[in-house]
Amino acid sequence: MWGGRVGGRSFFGSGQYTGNIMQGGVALQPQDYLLDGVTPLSRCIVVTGVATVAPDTTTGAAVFMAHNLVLIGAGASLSASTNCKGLCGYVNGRVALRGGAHLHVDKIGKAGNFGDLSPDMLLPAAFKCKIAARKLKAFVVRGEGADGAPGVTAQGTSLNTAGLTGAAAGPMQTGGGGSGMAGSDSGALVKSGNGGKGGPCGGGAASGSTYSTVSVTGHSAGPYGGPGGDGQIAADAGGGGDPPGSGYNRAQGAGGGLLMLFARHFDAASGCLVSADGTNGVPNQNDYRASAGTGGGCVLIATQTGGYSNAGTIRAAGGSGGFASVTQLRGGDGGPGSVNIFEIAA
Amino acid sequence: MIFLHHPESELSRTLLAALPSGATSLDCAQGLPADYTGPQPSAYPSVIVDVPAYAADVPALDADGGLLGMTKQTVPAHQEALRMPATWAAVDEYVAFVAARAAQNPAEA
Repeated sequence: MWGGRVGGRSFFGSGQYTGNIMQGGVALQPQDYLLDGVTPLSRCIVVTGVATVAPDTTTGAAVFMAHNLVLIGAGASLSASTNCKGLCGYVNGRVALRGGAHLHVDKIGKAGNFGDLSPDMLLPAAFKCKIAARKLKAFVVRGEGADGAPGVTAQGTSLNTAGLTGAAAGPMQTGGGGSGMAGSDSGALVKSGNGGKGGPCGGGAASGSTYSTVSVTGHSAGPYGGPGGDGQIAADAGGGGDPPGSGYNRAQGAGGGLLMLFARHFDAASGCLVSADGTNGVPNQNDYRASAGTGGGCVLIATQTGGYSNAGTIRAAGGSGGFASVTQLRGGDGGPGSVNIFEIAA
Repeated sequence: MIFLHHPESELSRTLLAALPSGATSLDCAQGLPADYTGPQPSAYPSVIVDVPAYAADVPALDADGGLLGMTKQTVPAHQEALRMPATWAAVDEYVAFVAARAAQNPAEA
């Protein structure tokens, strides 16, 4: 897919293209860089702080290109600037992470039933002349993510039940959302809403916590990444999703997103992290109940044969359920997403 | 004890290298194995531990939900998935905690 076609004029620094990697309000410019003091990388984008890529207005994905890309230092991170269909990087040479750097789409998944999705569907028009898009069709993210956790029931007086964990993703799939806690008073039969199914661009949304003195079923999270379930009463925490559910102290974020990286070489040092993690649940105002975590996203890294080396961590963890300190119970965790590594002939 | 391992996680590789005797590992690089029947994990690595039955204090209710007092309820033995434990010592600490809880609050026969 690289096909020698990426080596032309760089889009970076044009001031027009939304795919610029922005750090501190400035579009990073390519520079010659000596990786680890020994490996020269020409026309390299070097990320040393918090950097973001804005989504393309047409395809809805944050897409960047680079000849080489290095993230260096514990303060270095690169992500999409907001919830979107995915962060997609096309790097002609090497991607290297050093010193605890972080490349991620944590908590910024995009809700939507987009069906099975291949990376060529996310390419901005300006990139289609630079990438062999036909070859990208082989990498298909499943439109149906893993199932969300079923809601839980409680019936009694000041009785709470912990939420459940969403289902784990299979290959090229996102994880399901967790279910929030249920709390009953006055003998009411109370059921929390179901966690949501994952979508192609975001892990499953989480249901909120549900408390009632009358029999009721709480709000379920939406499918395909959101929205999160509302807390059943104003003081109950809403679940994460796109957008999060309403409620006091609601979870701030969506499911883990979609991260696709195509490079001839990928090389992460120990302590570095590539992630598509879900949002954690939160406790309610009085810490009796807590909302659930959202599902993990989907990470895809494709390199040429022998071009992949990971001494760090690549993960798509589900968000952990919020912990209610009074009841010592949790909302359900989100299900883990998937990490998919391909080494292919260049 | 079952260790749900993911080879792309540095923590998972570290824990696998020190896998205690008696524990078994499952490779989850392609997701959970189809024949896995334990509790759902939310992240990799996770460690599946056995939690012995214990008695918990819960409210006793009348037919209308009125509180009659507290009573003991047996929480049956089950398994839990410990999410991304930092060390095997942390796993041992949790196993010791649930064992002590079961000893102090034994489940009624």
